[in-house]
Amino acid sequence: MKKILPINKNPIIKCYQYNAFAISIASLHENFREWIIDNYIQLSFDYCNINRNGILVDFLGGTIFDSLSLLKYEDGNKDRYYSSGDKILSYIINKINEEKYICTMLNEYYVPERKNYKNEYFEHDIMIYGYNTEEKVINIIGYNNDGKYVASNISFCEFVKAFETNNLFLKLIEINKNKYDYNIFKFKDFLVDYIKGTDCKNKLDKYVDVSKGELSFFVGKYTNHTKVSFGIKIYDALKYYLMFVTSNDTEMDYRPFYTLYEHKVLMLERLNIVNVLEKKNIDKVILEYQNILEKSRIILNLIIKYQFKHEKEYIDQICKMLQEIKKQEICSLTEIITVFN
Amino acid sequence: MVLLKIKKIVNEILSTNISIKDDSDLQEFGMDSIKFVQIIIALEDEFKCEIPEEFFLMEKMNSVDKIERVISKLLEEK
Repeated sequence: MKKILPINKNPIIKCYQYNAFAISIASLHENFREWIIDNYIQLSFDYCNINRNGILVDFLGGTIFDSLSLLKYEDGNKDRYYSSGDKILSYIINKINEEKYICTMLNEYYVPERKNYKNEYFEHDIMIYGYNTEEKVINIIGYNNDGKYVASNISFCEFVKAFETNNLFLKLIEINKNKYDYNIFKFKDFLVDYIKGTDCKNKLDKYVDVSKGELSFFVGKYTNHTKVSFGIKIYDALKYYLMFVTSNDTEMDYRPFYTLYEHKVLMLERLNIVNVLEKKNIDKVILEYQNILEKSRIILNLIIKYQFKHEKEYIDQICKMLQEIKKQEICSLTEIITVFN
Repeated sequence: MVLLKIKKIVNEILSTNISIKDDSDLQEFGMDSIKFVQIIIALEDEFKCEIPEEFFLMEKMNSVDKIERVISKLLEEK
């Protein structure tokens, strides 16, 4: 007996697992394109995480924990207490048969294709989307030993060990079959908030702070958000971060710049969808935005180059490009806002 | 000579002994962002030049052919 739930193995957002897992499922929803229009527009930068390897740049929007309207959530935490030993396998099989995806934490020591496999105990989250009782494997998706978001298999035997030694949360997710209608006023409003760098959490239908969520593995960590920048202000925050890295000679985190890049990918996709659905002629802005996306990719490669060579001239180049993108983005998005006024 | 040096760098970084055709897409031979940047760094060291940031996009240097064009132009301008 086997069952594999459909999954997008290359979601448009995949920098952080709590977004990637959610988008891997949500992108199968028939209204995912419409959903893109008025969601995941705002970005935040948390200064408090600079010195503690936490999440610096993130989208304001739904995750695996809650708030993504294309998904339905169920707290599986109560179940994990009696789902130990082999019982967890029948539990997983039942949930997959009910078309529910399972997000949980595993001990990577027992997870093949992970850098800690048979090396050391290390907690990391994965999502389960299928099983095969003949081959005795569970289908999971997550970040492999190269840091790539890929699907893989884990044997029943290793899964039980990986789960038993490290199950910090259990979340069940399924596709919400309700239709999603986008709101073009909300789209415009969020763009205004982005350009102004406004905290717009209160405008989201629901917002769950991943660092404070009850089910979160972040519980008790990174909960102090005393200084946060939003939207266009994150460019200055990123420059501050680059200066921090060079003056303190700390390791450069690639992820904030990857999220910045993903934000541009998503914005370009959003503009293309709006162009078609709203029949406004924004081709010129779309062209301009393609250039912004290209620059954000160059920045990523310069960050990698800095990681290898540690030469400050690359930081100067990156700061210059961040400033250019900021200016271009203000112009492009202001034009879009004007079109939709 | 330039072409031979480029091929040697590419083969070393992609850890392959296969003869890669000049117009083959290097991503098919395992070039990802990290290896792409490693190739750029090795090329800059070998040819004592600085590759402008506009070429820091994989699609602009994802074959031996394309790399040779960029490097040859930079060497001409030296």
